[in-house]
Amino acid sequence: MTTVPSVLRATAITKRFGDLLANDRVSFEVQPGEIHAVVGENGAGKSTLMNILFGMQRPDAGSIEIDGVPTELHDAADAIRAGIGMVHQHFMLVPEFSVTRNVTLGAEPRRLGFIDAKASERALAEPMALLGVQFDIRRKARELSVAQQQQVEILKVLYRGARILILDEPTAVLTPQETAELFRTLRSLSSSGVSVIFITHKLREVMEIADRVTVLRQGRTQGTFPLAEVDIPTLVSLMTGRSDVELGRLPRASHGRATRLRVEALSGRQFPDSELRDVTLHVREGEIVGIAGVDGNGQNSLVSLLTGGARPSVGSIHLDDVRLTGRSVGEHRQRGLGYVPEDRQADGLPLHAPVVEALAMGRLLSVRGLSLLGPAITRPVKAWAREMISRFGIKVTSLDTVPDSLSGGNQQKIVLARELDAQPRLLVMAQPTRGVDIGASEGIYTSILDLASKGAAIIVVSADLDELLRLTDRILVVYRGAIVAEFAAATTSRDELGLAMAGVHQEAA
Amino acid sequence: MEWLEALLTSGVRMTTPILLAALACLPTLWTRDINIGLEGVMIFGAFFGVALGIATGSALTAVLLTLVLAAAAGLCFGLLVTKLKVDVFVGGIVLFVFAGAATAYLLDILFGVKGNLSDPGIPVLSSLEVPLFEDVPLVGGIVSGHSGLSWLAVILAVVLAVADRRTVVGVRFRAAGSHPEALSAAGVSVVKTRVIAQVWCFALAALAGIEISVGQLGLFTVGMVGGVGFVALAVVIFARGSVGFTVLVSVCFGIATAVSFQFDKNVVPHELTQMLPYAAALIALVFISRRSRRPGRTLVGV
Amino acid sequence: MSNLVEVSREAPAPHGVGRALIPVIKALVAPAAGLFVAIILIQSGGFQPLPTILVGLEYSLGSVEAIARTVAWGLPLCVATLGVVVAYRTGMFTVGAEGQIYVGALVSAVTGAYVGGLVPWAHQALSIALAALTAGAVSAGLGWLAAHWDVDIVLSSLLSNYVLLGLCIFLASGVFNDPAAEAPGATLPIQPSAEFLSLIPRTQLTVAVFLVAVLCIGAWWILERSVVGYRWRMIGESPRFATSSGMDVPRWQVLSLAVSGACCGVAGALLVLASQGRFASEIAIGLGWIAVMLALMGRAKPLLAILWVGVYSVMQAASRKIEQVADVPSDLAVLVICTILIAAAAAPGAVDLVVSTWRRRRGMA
Repeated sequence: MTTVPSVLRATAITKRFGDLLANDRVSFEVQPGEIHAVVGENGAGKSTLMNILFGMQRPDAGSIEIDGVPTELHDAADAIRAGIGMVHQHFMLVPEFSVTRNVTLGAEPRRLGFIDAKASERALAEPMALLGVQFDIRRKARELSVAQQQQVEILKVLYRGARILILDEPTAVLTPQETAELFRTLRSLSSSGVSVIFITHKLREVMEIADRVTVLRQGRTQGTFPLAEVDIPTLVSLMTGRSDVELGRLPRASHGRATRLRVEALSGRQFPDSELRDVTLHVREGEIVGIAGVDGNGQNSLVSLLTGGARPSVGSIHLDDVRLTGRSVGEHRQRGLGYVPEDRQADGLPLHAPVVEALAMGRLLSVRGLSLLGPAITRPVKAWAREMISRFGIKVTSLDTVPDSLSGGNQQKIVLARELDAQPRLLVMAQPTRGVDIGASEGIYTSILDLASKGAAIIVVSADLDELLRLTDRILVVYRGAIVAEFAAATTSRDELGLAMAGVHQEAA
Repeated sequence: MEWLEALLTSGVRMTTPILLAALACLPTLWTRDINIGLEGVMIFGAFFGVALGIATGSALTAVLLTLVLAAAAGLCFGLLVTKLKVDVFVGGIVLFVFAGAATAYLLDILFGVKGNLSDPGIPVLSSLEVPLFEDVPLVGGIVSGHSGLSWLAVILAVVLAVADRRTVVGVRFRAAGSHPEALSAAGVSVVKTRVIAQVWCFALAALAGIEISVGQLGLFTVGMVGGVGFVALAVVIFARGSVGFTVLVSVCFGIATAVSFQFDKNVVPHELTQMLPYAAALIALVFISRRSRRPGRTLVGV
Repeated sequence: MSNLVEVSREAPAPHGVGRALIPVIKALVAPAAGLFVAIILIQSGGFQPLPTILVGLEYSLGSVEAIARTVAWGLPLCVATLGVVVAYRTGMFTVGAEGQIYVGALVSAVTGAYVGGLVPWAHQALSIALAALTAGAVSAGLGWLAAHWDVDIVLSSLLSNYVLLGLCIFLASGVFNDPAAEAPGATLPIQPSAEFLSLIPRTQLTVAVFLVAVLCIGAWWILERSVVGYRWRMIGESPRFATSSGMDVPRWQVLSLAVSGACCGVAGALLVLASQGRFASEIAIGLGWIAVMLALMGRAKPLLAILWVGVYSVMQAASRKIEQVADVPSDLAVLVICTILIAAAAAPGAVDLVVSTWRRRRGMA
């Protein structure tokens, strides 16, 4: 038992969304100056818990104590006053405001309603020193790199005098090197007495930085452990409730010799990503190629050019010797493209339409002429939809269920079912398992491998280096719009990839 | 020369309601709550300005009372759109249609007339003569002889320009529209910010309506606002939310409207000249959108 | 954008009886609010509300002739509303119905008056077809600008109303004017061959009712069941999803606006050919805006929208009668429908607010 009083204690927190019990009597506490990791799969209830701690959601039951004092948090302002600060996974920065203005938002030094600009700038000095960073605070938020934006978020929290920092999946968008930098900052903060609550599903990082770990599964706490008492396999089995989760390389059939996808000297851009310059790559039939890189270095441009969302300015793309001109997504799809978009909720699914309609899009797009006036969701279509649902293990109660109410994994299965049914010869996937729990991810990998064994060429763009290492044959690294390195997935490492992603070129062996 | 002076004087008179309505609209553009029922508020303002003027016998009292009513209405609308989550598009349409029907209704019930209320007894806002300038050619026409609301419009434009980037309120308006979650996470009530923008909008739009009825014509006719509210919407869209450009574009439209009155009836029929401002706004809208080619601010949804 | 026409996201309902009751309350709030307003307004005029309302309802529904009269009045509104519904399905929130109705009315009036020597059905068909084509072209033009040049459809359609109205009135007061007519800006009366055959005398119900019935069924089938409707629905639901799936979204949006404009044009033609007999400046004031509101009430679903058209037609007829007997201006119908629409839009949010406040009180106790 600890003798030091907790700086924050949450007891029996319960929160329900409709039928979903997001937090079920969750309890945990944090010591001063501690780095406390909260882990769980997607949908385990971590984000809900953090939103409650930050006052952005109100619990249905349970209590919160700060420094031993019961505190009610009605909104973010209450949390800030209580010394809690949150850095969200999706940054809360106003893009067109300067760093100064973003940091001081809501607590600007003022005189008679006017903002005191000079005082604002002076006020940033201390948090920047505490964090150990330095940059031009007059720049607009949208001009900063992702890692810098995250630093601004932390500055915001420190400016408000936070003693408890909550970080929601902070390393999802960082390179390995930037992650190391972040951890250095967090250790420095924790040694000056700031407590850090760190939400993640990346267990490697937990083992590196945390003092204690709390595991959540399906809305309930599975326990809080000092770091010495756990290791990665233990954590995985606590998170998933299973002990057989495989984390190594996935078994692969060997792929064919013929080149399926031929990209030659390709240049083009999908705003706001970087411009792709003079990219050449070939993918053989049955091969899975991974694309790694810091977000904004050209991956989105590449995806857009491959899928027909943008037209190349120079160069060409050929799929089975048929040119993909970039005129439209429809044309590329007709010539054999399958596409699983990064933002499945915006681009991959109609969130509020019945599942059968989400599945049937591919089929219904090929209807022509007078049949357009014919019925859309016919009995054959429904039968086909039911077959897809059972084949891909999509958990829905009826054909009319709406994707909005489904988990990330189920939603992704719908997208995959639809795309794979069209038997694409080239499948482009971006962040295929983002927001998907481990069980569903395994199912998705199985489907990808299955498609590969049938001879399709597959390109996977992912920020999850572990995923690329497990799934792909080769990994290409993009940096500033060019492919700067190529590695065989079986023999490379995260560090090697990280260096290439940061633009440090390897000497050829 | 006299012709030019008449044109400039007329230009100021035409600009005032447009400018007031556009300034009304700006904060709601910043908070992304832009409300196409602006025209409806102007109709209500025009009506109540006249009705309360008859009731109280004083134009100034009518203006002040209408302002209070408008602010209250803005509060209600703001709460409808924020707390009760009514879509701003739906709210705006209802506001517009309701205003037309309600004012016709009240016109009948209260004054027993249909379509037109004119009475020499309706108090009109007195025009302000500026002693030093009133006889100066050209400038005199611009500066002197207009209702107090024209001066108010200028003052409010300056206020808004200063507030935009330098005050806490201005920053909050902008943040509420650009990234409301960021504002909320910073501990500021986004609801309050949006509601304040609506209160401002309704108050100034009512003033714009009053300017037309009580400030200039001294009567109320169904349809007298005639789309000025919609022109003001076009103005703020062109100006992309900048106060300076809003003033500039409003003045352009005001002068264009004044010019359209100058055309001799026999040369160009008045139905065509009346539609000139709208056609001009439409053409300008197309050109502005064509050149910018980025997702524009839509008046609908987020 | 599709938020306008979807069911609102709901906060968790209390368990048991409350859960079943909530949707019922949400559905009833709006009509109840409308009724409440009607009662208040009639009462303030010094008359007994319920008997007065019954008199009005009898006038609108109380006999075969009454029903025929009400239906006949509602036919143009029905077609226009369906037109707006089609556009809203694809997320194109146009408010240009008013202008397009006018265009249709003028074109059909001119065709009806000046084109001679045609068999009646051919004359009517030609007039309607030209009206639909012209109005459809206007709407498609606005749609093209919106889909390809990012011109905001709400603002452009708003401004187009004034431009089109001005143009129509100018033409009707000038080139096509009938100097013998009493009303200002009126065109020549249409020839007998262009008039729709009357079904029930003295009720203005013509064979146009069959045309409209076919249009209603067609609209339902196309929007709810057909592949075209599916594509439109997906665009309205998620334009990004439609684009990623390979659909030519701009093309389909322009098509929906073309159809929408055509419907409004037909509505205008019906006003002339099946009712007024000529174009006049005051022919359709406000009808386009009512169509927009009814489309919103129907949440862009054809059957629901048609239902509301029926309700409004009854209210409109009733309020005309009420004006006669109770000195309450006939704007009453418009005021009531506005109340109903706002109440319908606010009800989900209001109920959710009440429910979540109540739950919080209970939960934190």
